[in-house]
Amino acid sequence: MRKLSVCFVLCTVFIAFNGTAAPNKKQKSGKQAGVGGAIQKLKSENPEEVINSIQILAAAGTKKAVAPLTELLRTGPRNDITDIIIQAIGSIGDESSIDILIEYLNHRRSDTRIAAIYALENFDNTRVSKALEDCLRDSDRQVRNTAALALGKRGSLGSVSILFLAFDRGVHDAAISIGQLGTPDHANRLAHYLGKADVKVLLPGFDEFLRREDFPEKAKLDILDQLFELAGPYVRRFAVAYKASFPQGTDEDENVLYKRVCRMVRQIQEE
Amino acid sequence: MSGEKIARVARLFIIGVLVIFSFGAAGEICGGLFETTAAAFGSKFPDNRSEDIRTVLSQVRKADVKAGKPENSRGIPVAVMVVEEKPRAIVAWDLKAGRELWKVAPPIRSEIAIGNDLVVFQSSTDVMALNLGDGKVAWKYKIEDGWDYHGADVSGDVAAISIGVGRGGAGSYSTGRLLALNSKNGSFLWEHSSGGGLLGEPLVFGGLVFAPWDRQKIVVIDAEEAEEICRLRAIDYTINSVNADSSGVYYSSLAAGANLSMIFRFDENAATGTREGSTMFVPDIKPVPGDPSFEKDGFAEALAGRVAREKIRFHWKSTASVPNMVRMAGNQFYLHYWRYIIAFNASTGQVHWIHRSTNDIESMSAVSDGAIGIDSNGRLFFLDAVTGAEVWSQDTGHKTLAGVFDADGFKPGISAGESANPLAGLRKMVWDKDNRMLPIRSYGAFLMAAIPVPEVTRDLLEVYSDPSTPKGLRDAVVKALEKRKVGAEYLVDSLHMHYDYLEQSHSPPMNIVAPALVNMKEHSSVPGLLSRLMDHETPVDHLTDITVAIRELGNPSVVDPLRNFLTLYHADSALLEHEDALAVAAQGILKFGTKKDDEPFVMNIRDDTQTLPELKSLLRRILDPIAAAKADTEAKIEEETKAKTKIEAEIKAKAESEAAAIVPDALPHEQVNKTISENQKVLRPCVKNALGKAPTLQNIRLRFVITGATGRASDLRILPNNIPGLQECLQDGLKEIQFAKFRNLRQMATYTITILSGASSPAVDMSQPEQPKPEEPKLEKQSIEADVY
Repeated sequence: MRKLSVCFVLCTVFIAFNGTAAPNKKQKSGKQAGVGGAIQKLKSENPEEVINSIQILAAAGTKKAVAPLTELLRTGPRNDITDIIIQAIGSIGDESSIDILIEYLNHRRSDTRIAAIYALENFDNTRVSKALEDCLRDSDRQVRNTAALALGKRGSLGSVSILFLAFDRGVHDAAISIGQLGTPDHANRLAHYLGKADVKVLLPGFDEFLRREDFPEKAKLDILDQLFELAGPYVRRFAVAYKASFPQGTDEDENVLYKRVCRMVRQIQEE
Repeated sequence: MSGEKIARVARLFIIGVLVIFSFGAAGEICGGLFETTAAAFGSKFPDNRSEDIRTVLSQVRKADVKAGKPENSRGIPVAVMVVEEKPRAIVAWDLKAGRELWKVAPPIRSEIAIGNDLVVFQSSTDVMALNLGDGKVAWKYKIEDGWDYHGADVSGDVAAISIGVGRGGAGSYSTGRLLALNSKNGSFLWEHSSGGGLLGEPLVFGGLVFAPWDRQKIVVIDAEEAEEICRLRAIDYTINSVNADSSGVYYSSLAAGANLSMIFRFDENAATGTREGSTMFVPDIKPVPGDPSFEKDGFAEALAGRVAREKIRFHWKSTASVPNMVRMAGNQFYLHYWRYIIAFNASTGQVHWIHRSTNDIESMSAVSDGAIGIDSNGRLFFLDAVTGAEVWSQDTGHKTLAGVFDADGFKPGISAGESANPLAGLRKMVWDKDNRMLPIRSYGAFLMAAIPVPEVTRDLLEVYSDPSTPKGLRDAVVKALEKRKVGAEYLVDSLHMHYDYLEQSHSPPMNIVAPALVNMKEHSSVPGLLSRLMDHETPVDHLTDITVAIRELGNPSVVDPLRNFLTLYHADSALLEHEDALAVAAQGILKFGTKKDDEPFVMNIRDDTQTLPELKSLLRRILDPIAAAKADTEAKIEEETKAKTKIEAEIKAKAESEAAAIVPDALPHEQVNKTISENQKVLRPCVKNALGKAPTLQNIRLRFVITGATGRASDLRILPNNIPGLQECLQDGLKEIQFAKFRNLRQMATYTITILSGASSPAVDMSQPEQPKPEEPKLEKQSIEADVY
């Protein structure tokens, strides 16, 4: 929610700043002047002015802003400014800011660590993967779950084994990432938890596997079969939702997955 | 018979009775009726009398006790066990021959005691004595229904049995009876009732019966005369039990929390009744979990079978009698804690050795050369006093619930050159995976910490960092580490430990490690300390300890990391309420940095508008301590002044509110007078004016009504009433005067203004000293008691 609201603010500022979708030369120079002004105002004594300037720089997305924002971050500003700078740097997405963002994964406040994880989601870099994996070791539950989800989004297959370890230790969102990244073998390994772990935390992982286009159909059928074996109200609800994801008019005889899920819905007893 | 005759006969009878009693014939005539109440446990028997104790000691010295040998007449070391069979049975075992002597299965309702070739216990409602030689019933004695068996002892011709009613808790009813039987045939000899308060397990020794009474007293009864001859009263401890051997009589106190159990010697010093004056021994060790006591609790109901409280107990064996001393065999005592036996040095309290049994140890006994015990599997074992090595064992083949030993002098073997290794034993104990052992494992951590070997620091840190270590033990390890003065290298190593959720590892306890490193002046720890400082998993309340350690042990290389730390968090709420950690970091920067670069840096932090307010204040003190001290003084003075003013205001407000709260029913005339006197100025012009019109005027009498709710005057009447304008003027003036309020609706008041022309000392001075005028009127109040209506 917080992330959405920040995006909303950034978009608002961005639109306000650009005025139109296709800026002309005059507007471009105006934008440059705006960026320059915003950079200047980062040194303001007025925190509100500083926050506004950071938002403007984030909306501008200019790499020129990274250095002054990093410099400001290095001065150790108050909580809200620290967090908004991290978000801004993340949204600009310049590789030069990876180091400082990784540094902030070790900040004492979990809010800041989570902001840094969101910021790092935007970078495709092995150092980032390693840093996010380390966040699974964090003492804060929210940080661990955020890191697990970030690893899923960044698509690194190498992270699956540590995600399993995290899942074993109660990082439930790791199941989702495993579903996003894993192979059929991983899906099979996750299925071994059926009957042992709470099915509610496993189903989101299977959902991810089933919705992936790059995941083999046979492996998807295996997942459905294993869920069918377990049955129960949660599995039925899951099957109903999965069935609904197929386009209207899908024919059971033409789509084996659809046929299998329809059978699940029919045969698993309603609550 | 006439009435007078009857009265004379009655008088003679009473006199006769008195004469008989005065000559001490009551006992002869009334027999047992008086014996049970007067001969022992009487309320007037003097306690702690030296001469009585001397009498007891002279008789104790005559006791025929074999030193260093079993008490039974055959001199065979034996163990008598209650075994877990259906039904439960009693088994006697010859320790020397390694064979069963006999086995019987009577109903067993209590623990068993051995003495004088008898095995005594409660069987159904009887006290039963079996011959130690063959297990046959020697005699039985029936106990009345409703009485609990508290134990027995046999020596010579006397068997003493203690029975009781109630639990002996504060405020609850309890009473006890002491029965003496002939030990040969079980016939009744005598009985005494305590009259109130339980009696503990008795001791029969040297022809005397020692009965612990109500945890406060020991009553000593001459077994032959059935009379109390001495009473000991404990003043500042509670009595647990009384025992004896060839070296004398001892009694022990009950452990309670920080008060460890103590052993007292029954000697002349016992007359003091206090710990300080008595010949006693108290272990020089930290209080043990489970509050073990020396000897069994003689006041507890002597239950049969496995009794948990008997699994946590101190044991000891006395050695040759030395005046004014409690001397222990091997100068050590033992702690039995379920499956552990720990030998402590009696002088130093240091651990001598530790033995861990595979199974729970059901019973043990300290003997001259070691400790003998039996485990739940019926395995007998003997531990060498010097090394703690198990030098002998025998399998009885019986699952055992409890056992007693008559085995003094039993020494089945000697240790083969091994030496005691207390540290190895403690390590095993601390790492024990048995959850029941958690309290003793934690205790073991403290015992380990007292051993001045560097590796102990490592061991304790390993226990701390092990993910399977329970929290209680981890907390104990943290406390134990506080004591460490050696093993700095292991503390430095511990700085590499870090929290890891996945690996379930923990950060080192920096609040302990950092100060310990400072104490040990371990400068090599600085990089590790800096690493812990920047690790967000380090608990925030440990940060000050870390920054202090860095400040104390650091060098110029710490300046940059400390600057980073101070910069990062100087305005961040993460360190709110922990600003002292940042302030100490600033001190470190100033200590190791340069005046040119680093002092301005700290000043900038101080002056930054975003810096945490408390940190600003702390930095002001650090950067300018003189000004800060001055400001402190000023602030203190200001604060004190404010506080004083506030208190005064509060007192005044309180007084006013109290005064306001006290509304009188009516105004006393003195108060009416006072109020008018205080407001003379409003009336004076009227009088002056009236004098102008009537120069001979001498007094004016006012009569008016005051309303209670408002304190305002009205309805004025005056005399004389013929001076034009005077009535109206005074009426107006009076309206301005605020009288005190009162409860009644209204009250009438009168006031006389006496005009004293040129009076030298009027009661109320209205003169104008700067402009004296002879004709100036002077008023003298003269109030007349107010009427209330």
